Amino acid sequence: MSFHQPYIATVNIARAAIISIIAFTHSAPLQAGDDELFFEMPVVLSASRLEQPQSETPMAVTSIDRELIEASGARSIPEVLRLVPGIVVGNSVNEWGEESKLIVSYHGHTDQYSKQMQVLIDGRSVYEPLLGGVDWNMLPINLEDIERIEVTRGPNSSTYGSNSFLAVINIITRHASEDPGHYVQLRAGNHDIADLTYRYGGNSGDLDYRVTLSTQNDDGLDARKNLGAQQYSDEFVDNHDDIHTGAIDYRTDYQINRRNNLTYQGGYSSTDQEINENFSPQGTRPVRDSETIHAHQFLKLENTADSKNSYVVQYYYNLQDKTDQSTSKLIVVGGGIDDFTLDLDFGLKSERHNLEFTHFNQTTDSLRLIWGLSAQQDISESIYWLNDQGTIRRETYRLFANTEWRINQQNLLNFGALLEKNRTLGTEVSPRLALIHKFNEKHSLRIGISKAIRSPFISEEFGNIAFSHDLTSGGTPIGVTLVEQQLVPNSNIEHETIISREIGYFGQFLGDKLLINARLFHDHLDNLIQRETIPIATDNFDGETHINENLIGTEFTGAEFEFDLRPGHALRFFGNVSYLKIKSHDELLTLTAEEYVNSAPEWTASLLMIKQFSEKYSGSLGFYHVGEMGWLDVPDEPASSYNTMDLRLSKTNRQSSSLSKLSLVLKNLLGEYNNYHHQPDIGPRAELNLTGYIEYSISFN
Amino acid sequence: MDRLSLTSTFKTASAALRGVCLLAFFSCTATTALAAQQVDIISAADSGYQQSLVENIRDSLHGSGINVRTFNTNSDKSFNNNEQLIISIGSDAASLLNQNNIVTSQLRILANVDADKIPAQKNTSYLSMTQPHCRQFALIRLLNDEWQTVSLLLPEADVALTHRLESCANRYQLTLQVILIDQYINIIDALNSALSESDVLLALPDNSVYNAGTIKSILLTTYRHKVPVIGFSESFVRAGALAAIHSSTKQLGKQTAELIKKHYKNQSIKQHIIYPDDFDVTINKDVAKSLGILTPDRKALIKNLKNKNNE
Repeated sequence: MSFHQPYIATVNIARAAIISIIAFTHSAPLQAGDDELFFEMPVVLSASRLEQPQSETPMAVTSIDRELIEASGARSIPEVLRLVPGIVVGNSVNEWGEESKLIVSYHGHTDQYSKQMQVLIDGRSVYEPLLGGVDWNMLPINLEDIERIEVTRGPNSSTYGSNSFLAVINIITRHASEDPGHYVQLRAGNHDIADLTYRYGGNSGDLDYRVTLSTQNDDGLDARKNLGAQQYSDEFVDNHDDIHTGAIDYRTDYQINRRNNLTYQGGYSSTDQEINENFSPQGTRPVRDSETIHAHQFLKLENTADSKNSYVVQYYYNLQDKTDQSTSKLIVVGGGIDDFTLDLDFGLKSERHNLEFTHFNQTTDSLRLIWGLSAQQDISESIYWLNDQGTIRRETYRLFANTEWRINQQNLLNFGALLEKNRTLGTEVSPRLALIHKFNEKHSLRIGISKAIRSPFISEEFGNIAFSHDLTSGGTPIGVTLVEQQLVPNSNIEHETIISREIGYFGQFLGDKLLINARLFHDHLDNLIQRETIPIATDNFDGETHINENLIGTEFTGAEFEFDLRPGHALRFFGNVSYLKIKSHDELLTLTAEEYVNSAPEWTASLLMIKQFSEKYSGSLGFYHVGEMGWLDVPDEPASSYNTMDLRLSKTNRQSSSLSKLSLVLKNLLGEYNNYHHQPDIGPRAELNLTGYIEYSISFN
Repeated sequence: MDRLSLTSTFKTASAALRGVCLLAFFSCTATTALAAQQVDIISAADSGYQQSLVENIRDSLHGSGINVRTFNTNSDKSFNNNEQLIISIGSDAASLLNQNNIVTSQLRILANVDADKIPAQKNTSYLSMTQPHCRQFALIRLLNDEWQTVSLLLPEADVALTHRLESCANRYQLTLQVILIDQYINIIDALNSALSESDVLLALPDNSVYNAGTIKSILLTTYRHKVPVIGFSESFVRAGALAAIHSSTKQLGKQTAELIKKHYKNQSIKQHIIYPDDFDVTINKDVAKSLGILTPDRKALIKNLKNKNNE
C-alpha cells in the first residue's frame, strides 16, 4: 500500500485528528446524507463523449493527449500537430501582401491556405469558407483548455463531412467541471513573447462554467536581409510580422436532468497583425496592420434516452471579420501617363451557420449505428476577392450514417456514407468501408477503402479579383480605363475527389507499455483544383487572367509508423516516422503537376521524450525532422530539409490549496531554419531561430 | 385522528387484551404472539430509495403475520415502543433513535457501515446497503487479472480504514494507493497527480467524496487518464463507471425481512455488522470498449463472487 506522495504530510496530521474523530463519532456514529450515494447520477460518459479504442477505429487516428500537449512546450496548436505522422507546419511569412500565417499540411498540396483538411473544435468546423484554411494564430481557443487532439489520417467524409479530405483534426476541449478554481499562466521570453492567461471555473448547482481570458503577443519571426544572388546577411532583422491577440472564450455545461445536458460555448478574439510585403521589389509599401475578429457561439443538447439510444442536437455560428486596407505599389505606365497607386481592401467577412442532429444507437451488442442530418450556410463577402458580387451564400445539406457491426469476437466491419448536396456539388455520396480483424486482444489489422470529396471554397468558384483605373495625363483624364483582371469565377468548377486504400496495424506490446500504430496507404486524387493562366480580352493591362480549374490528378503511396512507449510511470516516448511518395497521373509531367509532386516531404519524423525526474521536476525533449518540400505558392523555392529540437524543463510546486509550475522552454535548438520559402529571389528570408521563454502557471481554489 | 392518538388507542387495547388472556390462556397465546410480531420502520418519506426499500420489506413480510408500521423521520416520533423491533433506514432515522434513547432491539440499515465508527451497542445490528470492501477487490481482480494498483480517494478522517482495505487488497494480489483528501485539496488535482500510477480507481461509498458536485469531474478526469472506475451503484455505472456490485432495494428488502423473521423466531441477530448477501453486478460495456477492457461474462462473474467469502 502507498499513500500518494503529495499527501503524506496530510496523513501525519490526520493521525492525530483521528482519535478525536472516533471519540466524537462514538456517540454519533452515523454518516450523514447517505441517500446521496444512491442519487440518480447524470450520464457523464455518454456515447458521443466516449473515444473509440484505437484498435477499433476504421481509420488511422493519432490522439495527442494533455500530457503531450503540455510536454511539447507549444504556444500554438500547429506546433503540437508536428507530433502527427505526415503533418508539416509552415510559416508563410508575409508573402504576397498578406499577413503571415501558420499553415498545417498533411501530405502537401497546400499553399498558404490549407484547403484539404477538416478542422473541428468540439464538432464545430473552423475552416474559413471563403479562402479555406484555418487562422491558427487567431482562434479563440487556449491550449490549456484542450483535452486532446485527435487527428484522423486519411479521408473521413462519412463521419466529418466534406473537406475531411486528406485528414481531420478534431480538437476536444475540457468539460467545464474539470477546471475548478482560478488558473493563471504567464509567459515571457525573447521575440517579445508576452502571454497572459486567466481562467476561472466554477459551478452553481447543476451548472458548470469556465471563462478564459488571454492575450498572446510576439514579434513573429526574424529575417535575414536579401543580398541578391541567393545570398542573405548573417544578421537577423525584424520581419515586421508582430502579432497581438486578445481573446475570451467560455463554456458552460448545464445538467438539465439525469439524461439531458446542455453545453453552451462562445468565444471572441481580436488580432492585430503587422504586415510587410516582403515580395514587393520596390519595398515602398509601408508596413501596415490588419485586424481580424473571430467569434463563435455553440449550443449543444445531448439526450441519453436509454442505454441504447442517445441524441445530440447542435447549432453553431462562426464569424471571421478581417479589416486590412492597403495601397498598391506605384504603377508606372509610361508614355506620358501619370503614375498611380490603387487603394486595396483586403478585408473579408465570413460567417457560418450549422445545425446538426445525430442519433447514436446501440441496437444490439454487436451492432452500433450513428446517423444524422445537418444543414449549413456559408456567407462570405470581400471586395478584393469577390469584386462586385456582393455577398455570396452557399447552403449545404448532409445525411450521414456509420455502422459498426461486430461480426464476431475477431472481426469488426465498419461502413458508412455521407450524402451531400449543395449548388456546386449537386448530390454526391462519399462511402467508406473498413474491416478490422483482431488476432487477439493485443493485435489487430485493418483494411479499408474510402472515397471523399472536397467541395470548392467560395473563392475557388466565385473568386473575382479585378482592378481598374481611369488613366490621366498631367491630371487630365484621357478617356481610357486600365483594367487588370487577376482572377475570374468558374461556374463549371467541380469538387476534388480522393479514393483511399489502406492497411493498418495496431498492436500492444510489453503489457500495454508499447502501442504501435502503423499503416500503408495508396490514395488516388482527381480533379485537384489549380489556378491556371488564361488570356482575356477585357484585361488591357497584361491581357491575361487566372481561373481555378480541375487540372491535376495525383497518387499518394506511403507508410506511417507511430509509437507510444511508457517504460515506467516516469518516462514516455511518443514518436513517428512517415514516408510519402507523390506521383502525377499525367504521363507528361507538366510544371503544375510537378509542383504537386514536390509539395510534401518524402520523410518526416518526430520524437517527444517525457521524463518525470521526481515529484517536482520533469523535462521533455522534442525532435522533429522534415524533408525538403515546396509549398504550392513558392514551388520554385522549396524549403530545405531541416531538423529541429525543443526542450522544456519544469518544476512543480504542490501546496495544499494550490498547484504551480515554473517552466523553461527553449525551441529551435539545432540552429535556424526556414520551413516555407528557402531562397526568395526578392525580399528577406524569414527563419525560425532560438526562441526561449519562461512560463509560470498557478491554479488555486 | 392523528397517528399519536392511534398509538395511544393501540396501547390501551393491548393492555386490555393482556387482561383478557388471563381468562382464556390458550386462545390468547396466539393473540399475544400476533401482537408481538410487529416491526416499526423509520425512514425518510422524501427519499424514493428508502421508500422503495420499505415497500420491499413490507412485500417480503407479506403473509408472515408480522405487522409493519412505518414512520417518517421528519414528523413521526411515536415509534418509541420498547417492545418492538425497530428498523431504521438511513442516517437520519438512526440519529433519531439515538436522540430518543431507544434501547429495544434495532436493525439500522445504513448506506455505508464503517466498523471503526459504530459503537458496540447491545441489541443493535447494522445492515450495510453497500458491499463489503473485500468483495469490491474481488470484483477488480475478476475483471482484469493484469491490474496491479488500485487507487482510492479517502477522506483523511478515514485514514484508519486503510489497514483493512490493504488487507483486502493483498488478498487479491493488489497494491493499494490511497489518495487522502481533505477540504483544502482539490480532488481533481489529487487525481491528476496520482492516476498515472493507477490501474483502476475504487470508489468507496462516501458522499463527502462522491456527490452530485464531484461525480462529473471525477469520471471525466479518470477517463482522461484511461483509468476505469469501480462504482458502488447501478446509477454510477450508467454515469460512466466501468462496473459496480450493488444490491437492489428488492434484494435488501428480502434480506431485511429474513432478519426480522429470524428475530421473531427468537433467533436474535447475532452479527453486529451485516452485508448484503444477494447482489448484482453491472458493467458499462461502452466504457469497457472505449478503454479497451475485455470484461468477463457477467453471470459467471456474479457466481464467482458469491462463491467467495468477501466480508
